[in-house]
Amino acid sequence: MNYCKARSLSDFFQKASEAKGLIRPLAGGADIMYRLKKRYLLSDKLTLIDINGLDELKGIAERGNELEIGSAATLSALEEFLKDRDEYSLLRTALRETACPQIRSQGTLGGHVAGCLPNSHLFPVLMLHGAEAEILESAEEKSIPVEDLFRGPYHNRLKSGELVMSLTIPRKDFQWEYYWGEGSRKQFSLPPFVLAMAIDGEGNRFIAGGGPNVLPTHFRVLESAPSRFGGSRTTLLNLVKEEVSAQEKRKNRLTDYQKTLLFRFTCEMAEMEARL
Amino acid sequence: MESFSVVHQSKRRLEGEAKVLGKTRYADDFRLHREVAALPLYPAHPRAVILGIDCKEAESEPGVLGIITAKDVPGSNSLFGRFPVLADGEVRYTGDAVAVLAAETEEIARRALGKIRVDYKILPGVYSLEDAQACEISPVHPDRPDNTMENTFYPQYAGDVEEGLKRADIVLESEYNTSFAVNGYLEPDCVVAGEDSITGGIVIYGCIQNVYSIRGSVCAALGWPANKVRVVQTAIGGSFGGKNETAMVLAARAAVLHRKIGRPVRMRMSRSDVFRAGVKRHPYRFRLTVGCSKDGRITAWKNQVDTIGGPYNNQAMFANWRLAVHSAGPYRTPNVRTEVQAYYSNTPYSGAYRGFSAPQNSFAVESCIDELADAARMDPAEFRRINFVRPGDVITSGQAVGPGEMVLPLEAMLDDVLERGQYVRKKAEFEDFNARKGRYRRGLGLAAGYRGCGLGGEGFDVAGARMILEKDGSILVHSDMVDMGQGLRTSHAQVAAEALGVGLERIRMAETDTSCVPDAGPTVASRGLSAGGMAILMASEDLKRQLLEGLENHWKIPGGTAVLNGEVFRSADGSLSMGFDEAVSLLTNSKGLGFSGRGWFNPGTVHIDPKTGQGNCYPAYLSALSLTELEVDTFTGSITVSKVTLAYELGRAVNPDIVRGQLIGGYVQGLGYALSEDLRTSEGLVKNTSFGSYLMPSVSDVPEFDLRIFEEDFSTGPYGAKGIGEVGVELAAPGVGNALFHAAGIRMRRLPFSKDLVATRMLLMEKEGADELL
Repeated sequence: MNYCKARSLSDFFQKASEAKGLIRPLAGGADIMYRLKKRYLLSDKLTLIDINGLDELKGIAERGNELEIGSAATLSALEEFLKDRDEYSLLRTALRETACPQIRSQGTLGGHVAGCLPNSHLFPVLMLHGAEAEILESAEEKSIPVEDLFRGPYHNRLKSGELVMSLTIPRKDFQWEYYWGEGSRKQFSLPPFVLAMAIDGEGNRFIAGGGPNVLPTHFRVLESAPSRFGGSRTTLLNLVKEEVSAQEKRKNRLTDYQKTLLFRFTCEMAEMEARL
Repeated sequence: MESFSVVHQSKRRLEGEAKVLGKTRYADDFRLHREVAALPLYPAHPRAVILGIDCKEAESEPGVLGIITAKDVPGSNSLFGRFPVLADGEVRYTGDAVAVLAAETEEIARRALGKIRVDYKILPGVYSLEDAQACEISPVHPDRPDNTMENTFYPQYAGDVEEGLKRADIVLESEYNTSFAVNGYLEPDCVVAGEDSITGGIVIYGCIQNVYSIRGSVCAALGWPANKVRVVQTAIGGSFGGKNETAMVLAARAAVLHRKIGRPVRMRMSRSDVFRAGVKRHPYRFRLTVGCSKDGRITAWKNQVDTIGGPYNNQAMFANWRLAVHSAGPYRTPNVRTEVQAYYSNTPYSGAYRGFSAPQNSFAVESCIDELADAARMDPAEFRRINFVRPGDVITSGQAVGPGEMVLPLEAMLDDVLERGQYVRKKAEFEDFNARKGRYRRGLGLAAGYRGCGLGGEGFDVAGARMILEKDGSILVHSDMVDMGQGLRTSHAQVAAEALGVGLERIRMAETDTSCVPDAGPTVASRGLSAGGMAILMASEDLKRQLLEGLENHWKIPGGTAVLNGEVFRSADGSLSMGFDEAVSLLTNSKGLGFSGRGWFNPGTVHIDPKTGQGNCYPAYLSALSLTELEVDTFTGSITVSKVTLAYELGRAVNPDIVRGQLIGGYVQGLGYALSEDLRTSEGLVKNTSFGSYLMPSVSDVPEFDLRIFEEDFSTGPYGAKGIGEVGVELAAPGVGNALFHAAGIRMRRLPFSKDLVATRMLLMEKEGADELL
């Protein structure tokens, strides 16, 4: 394994262009070091380019109706930034459920999304918000929906030498929101399913979920305008069933437990809709 | 109550400071000179014929020092329970090592291991109890065509069960199933085999629960006598019954390899290997038919219990016997018919795990008692009260309940738990809360139990100890019993100090070493203190007697008149006295005497009729009672146990803090068994092989505990102590199951109560149309 430290963004791309084999940016290392230790990532032809010193990737700022977060910002820094920002409360809740304080203080948002963790607490929430990832390769910059990063569990669609620069998260004024994602014990266990649901001020409904058996790890169950939803629980459940069926055709076989949770919380959503 | 100087007090753990400061050296924390690493080659298939093994390429790798296969085992390749040192001809589960390779480093060994070529012919396997009983697949061992394990059938017959069922107003048939579970010790197994430079034999160091059985396996594998093999226990980072068979084969392999290459050999298991090849709790299936009268009196208890034990018969014969004795719980049950049987399978092997068949049995019995109470429309507490055995009754094995050993004060404990747990008030409150049909529901669950102390009819409950008085007045104690983290050494030292009449600081507990104390059996069945402590008490009394005799001779007073208390020797009339240090110096330095005490405890033989299971099965029984409170999220199936009120009768608490730690720690371990620990196997393969996927409770899962210890006189334990190491595990699963039924109205008859099962059951029960989605 080769290791080198990038002194600037241009230095990163220079080193990336010179390196042979697999290239991985190293920020917090929470995911990469674990995968190396477990041999899920083989070190033989790997080059780690350390981006820890690049302050331009660590910023967190609110610009208008968007939150912009540098990819090397730690999860705990983001958690602190969102402490009093209730408009991102769903994201805040998901952050608090992620791993433990020690890992959040080390792990970065960029590493989290590029790592494509199948049990990610954050992804369904990012999808609900319509988050986008800014990706840079040498001088070329592009922006893609965050879910398009996924190829499968632990596999992203980034090309060698591409770097996630930042994430942009639009603010949504959810009228109702719900998040679930907990393991089978109170700490240190990965959830079997992560589910985020919301209804915005215009009556649009969003459901996103993900889990280890779902490819490409996360999916949008429902993004339904009021016109598709007559307000009855049965209609909403039917929409969810249709979507589950469509997912299964794409070989995303949900477990009974995942379906149970979807069904339960969709019922809850419908009841909440009736009250709103 | 009798007053004590050292026992019955919460003395600090002798090894506590070293552990807290990280100074304790475990088996993998030291290295022997010129030591090498060795790794086993496990098969990818749970059942296959070995057609050939080609080690040539691996042997030629730089740094590889030697490889052994079954043909290299000089002695017996069939250890206790048929366990092979190395698979010979056939692999019967994924922990059956085919070869072991030694190399200069573990890294080299790992690389070279991949170059051993093994040709297999894969066979269909016996992967479940149903497979084993159906006999449609070729049997695991050809000499057992029905797959039954030899010596594992145990009955418990009393009265006439069919007549009892006829007389019953309510008859309930129920099936309960329990799962494989992993002991979950933090320190993976590790042994080192090297040359004993003095005897020319072998010395084995390791985290080993039962040093004598490991010595026996090494002797068998090498074909050597016991005096050429020495086993020394290092500090152990948990065992819970698990570091026995795994350590047995590990030590035998290391010893054979050491003899072949002539250098010390270290074998340590990875966590995933512990999951794949290590011991598991027996997964029992209980088929119960029970009856009671309208007023709730149990009239009949019929119980067919079966389990698979893996391919080797190492512990089922003992676990099944214990289960049969306890199979009807601590209840007055005049008509009982229990039959327990184990079967061979090509699954991971089942063996000893804290509780040893009792947690499984307790889950079935106490769930069934609650179901009976519900069928009789009675409060579960009152149903238990009218059925508990009382003085004058007999338990199902025919042993009479009475003061002392068989006190079983369950009624008093029930009253105490109901009062402390505010049962009546909370039950009404919770039922009112649940009637609102909200997302969360709350429940209370009772569970009761009793537990035979020590081995009882499982074997000889003997124990040995030796102690040496040094010239400076310090005392070195050798015990055959092993401290695995349960605090046994501290409790033993307290017993020694109390019996001798000296301060605790004079006592040093030596590491357990087979060369110091005769083979007195294993440290199992919660007998470390009850039997091991008795041996120490006897050794202490022997040493004290010698000292008193020495001083009586010096003082020229009649024998048997001097006493030793508070480190002062006194004559009977008080006219003569001498401090402990002065007396020891006088007797050793001035008179040239030497002192060592010896204790050998043998409680006598237990008499049981093997055809009926009737007899005095255990010397004494503990009693246990719990009230569990929980909240269940009916949407997600998440169960939060909020409070547990516990009562235990355990003879005497030699060290109350250690006792509390054992009982509460045991209960938390039982919570994992009840809620989250789900070892998944598929066609003989273990699917979850780490603590990331096999979920044990963490600190934040620990509920509030309110524990009360009941103490009663008990003549055959040291200062009245019974064994408490395992009983804590037993009540968690039934307590949670019964509370879940109270909270949500669902009866879970299979362990663990995982979130997905609870959530799905709740959804199907409460939401119309849910079955279409699922």
